[in-house]
Amino acid sequence: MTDFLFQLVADYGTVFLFAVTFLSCLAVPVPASLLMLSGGGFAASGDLGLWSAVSASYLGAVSGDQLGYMLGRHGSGAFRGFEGRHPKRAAAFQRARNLTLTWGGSGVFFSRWLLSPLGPYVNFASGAAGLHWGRYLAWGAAGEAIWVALYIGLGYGFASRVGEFADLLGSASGLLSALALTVGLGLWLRHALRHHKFRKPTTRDTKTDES
Amino acid sequence: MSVAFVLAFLATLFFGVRLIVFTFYWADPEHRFQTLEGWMTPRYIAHSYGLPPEMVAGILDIGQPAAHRRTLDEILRESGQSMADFQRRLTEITASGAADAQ
Repeated sequence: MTDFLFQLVADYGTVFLFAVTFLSCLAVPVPASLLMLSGGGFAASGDLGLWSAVSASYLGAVSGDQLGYMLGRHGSGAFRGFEGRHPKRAAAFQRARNLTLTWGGSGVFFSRWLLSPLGPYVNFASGAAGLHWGRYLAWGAAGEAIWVALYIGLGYGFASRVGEFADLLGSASGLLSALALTVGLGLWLRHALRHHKFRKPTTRDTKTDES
Repeated sequence: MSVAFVLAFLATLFFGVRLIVFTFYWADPEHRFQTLEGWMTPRYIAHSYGLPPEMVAGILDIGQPAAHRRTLDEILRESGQSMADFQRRLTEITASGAADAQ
């Protein structure tokens, strides 16, 4: 599958790079990071222009982010009607919204490049939570610059080892994102469990409070 | 929520193991050179193997590397040459180049 996509980078060049970075911001499962590596490799060998590869990938990523944010923002109306009928759900959504508003800027920034598999979901959540558009744009554009420069730069600098970098960076980025999710969900679970205990006192009330 | 937590944990394990496996695979000196793949272009192969692009174009018998990015798959399909043949000739030239340099 990756080979077929690499072939498309060779065939369609910068247009294809634009399309994959754009789609990857909308949770379409395309390995955009790896394809930028190969784009960097083709730039090093003279088959693609370095700056056209960089700008096409960057424009694709930033415009994909914008669409993801807009979808989250305008799609959230329907969701609000649904969660508003249920107080518990409304509280959970409010908590998610508060979390996004508190951590929004840096969350957007790091999910562009370090935790890039989480990126598209952060886009939808930022739009839905009503994160300020200017703030979202600034952090997002800065993060995407690092993402594009990192992968195209590595592909360019280590063109003869694109296969190696694709395997190692793909695993490392998956590992970091999955780890961040595990820790986040773990903390949330712990919080929910504690909350649950306080809300449902048993006869051994004092003991449960201590735990 | 607990199901999501378990899934995220399993994904962490999966990527962790994958990272370790690939680290060992690529640490092996035998895997240092990329094997040829159909998506590679003649210029890309030349760059990877440290050869002049004209030499790779010569082995493939395509004249000058074309301005259009044709991939190895396309070129071999047209010329009827097999990937194994091309790989063998490329390895010979790389090896003789290394011998000349010594």
